[in-house]
Amino acid sequence: MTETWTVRTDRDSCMGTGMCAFLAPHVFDVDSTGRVTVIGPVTAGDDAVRQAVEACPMSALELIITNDEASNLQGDDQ
Amino acid sequence: MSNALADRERLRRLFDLRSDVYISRGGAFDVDPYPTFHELRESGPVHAHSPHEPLGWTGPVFFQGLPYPDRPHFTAYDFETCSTILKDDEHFVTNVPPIGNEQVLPNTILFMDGKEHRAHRTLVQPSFIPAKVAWWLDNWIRGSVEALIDSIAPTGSADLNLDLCAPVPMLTITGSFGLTDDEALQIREAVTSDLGDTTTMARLLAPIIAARRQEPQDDLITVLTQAELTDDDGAVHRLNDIEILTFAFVLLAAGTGTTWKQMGITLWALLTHPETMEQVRQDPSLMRGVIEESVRWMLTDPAFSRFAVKDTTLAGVHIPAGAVVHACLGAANRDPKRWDRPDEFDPFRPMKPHLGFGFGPHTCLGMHVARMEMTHAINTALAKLPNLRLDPNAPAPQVIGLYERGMDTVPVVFDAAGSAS
Repeated sequence: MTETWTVRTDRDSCMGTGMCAFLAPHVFDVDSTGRVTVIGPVTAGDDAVRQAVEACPMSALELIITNDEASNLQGDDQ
Repeated sequence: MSNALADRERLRRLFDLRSDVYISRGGAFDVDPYPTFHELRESGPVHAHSPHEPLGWTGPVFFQGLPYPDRPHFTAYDFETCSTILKDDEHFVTNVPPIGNEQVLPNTILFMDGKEHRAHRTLVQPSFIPAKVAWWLDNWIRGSVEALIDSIAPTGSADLNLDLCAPVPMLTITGSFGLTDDEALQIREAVTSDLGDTTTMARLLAPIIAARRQEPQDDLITVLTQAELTDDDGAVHRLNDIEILTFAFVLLAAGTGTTWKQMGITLWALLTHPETMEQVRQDPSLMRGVIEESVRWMLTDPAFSRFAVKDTTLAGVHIPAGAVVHACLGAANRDPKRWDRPDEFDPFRPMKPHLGFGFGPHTCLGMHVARMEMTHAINTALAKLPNLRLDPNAPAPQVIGLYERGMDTVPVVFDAAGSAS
């Protein structure tokens, strides 16, 4: 069974510390408004993404892991 | 580049950790706190005391959340509880109404909470994001590091803690204010000779603030002159001169000593792990892991605090409203529940987020700039000081201090530039 990872960002909570952009620069950046933006694909099993989600000082990132049945619903986010 | 940086004696005097300036931060206190931290984590992890008490420090203390003798104090020593203290701003805040004769906390981003804090931090946050690090490097970090290394390289020996690590963070920030190296040292001189003296900085910055209002430049004072605050009623206004000066002073105070001391600790860690140092010399990108591990393993400021605003409970311990709650981040960063062999400096361990730059809304604003200052200064030292090693004839360096910990010295020898090795 394969997993699909998606990240939900809460731009209202985000303070733009850039912790995520430091830990997973291939996925996250801080845009000109000072809020998180997803700039690359989230790959299942990418430990840097897991770290970024965990390390977010404002808990503005949420990692959603779905298995392959449910992934049809989430597929567009990839 | 001015020759202000060539006067090594002056630099050393201005940044002496054993000087009077540092006594209330633990000064030359040289006890290794980590065995005590481990014991207190196991027997706690939350105790009813301030972090310095179980370490046997009886001298004066002045630090964030200290001394506040009329309030109960608690300290947490594990990763989970420390994360909660820094994150839960419903219960734990940085500013409360003073009781008795307590000093009113200054109205800066260090002591604001909630919406007010967010509004003020947002003014400068975009200048400190990872994408802006190259701006800091190219404009201010590279030049200072080069000038300092150039003055060190021909001599064959140095105390890198004072000759390199101490001035780089200060010059980076004062450079971003538009101040010269000589003006930066004047500010340092004023602050170290009389802790309260901010008039020198005010005198030197006032004309720059005025000039930037007239003619914007690509620097941090310009950012502050153009920043717009939106009030609760929707009115937009710019910062006045006093607000800009206060902001600048906070950035300098928060970003100078911390980065210096962590840089010295990181260099010492490498010099005492020569194989790792050689690997870093060959692959400078390894500095990323070295710095994260240094900050985890030997954090310069090992405790920060919050005030409890409501009665609550931490790890089973009742915390009354009004208490000062210290998060011992140094202890949290060696929590064995989270890290194997937590007392070992191992830059190759799997990366795992630590609390070295804090957590929650007050997470270190300058962390990415600090990382770049340390990375660039140390990589340049490794590249330009051949055969770099600890001076075998000097006393072994020690980590000293209590609430602001750093190296007493980092004495090194190397092959002097221009001489045959």
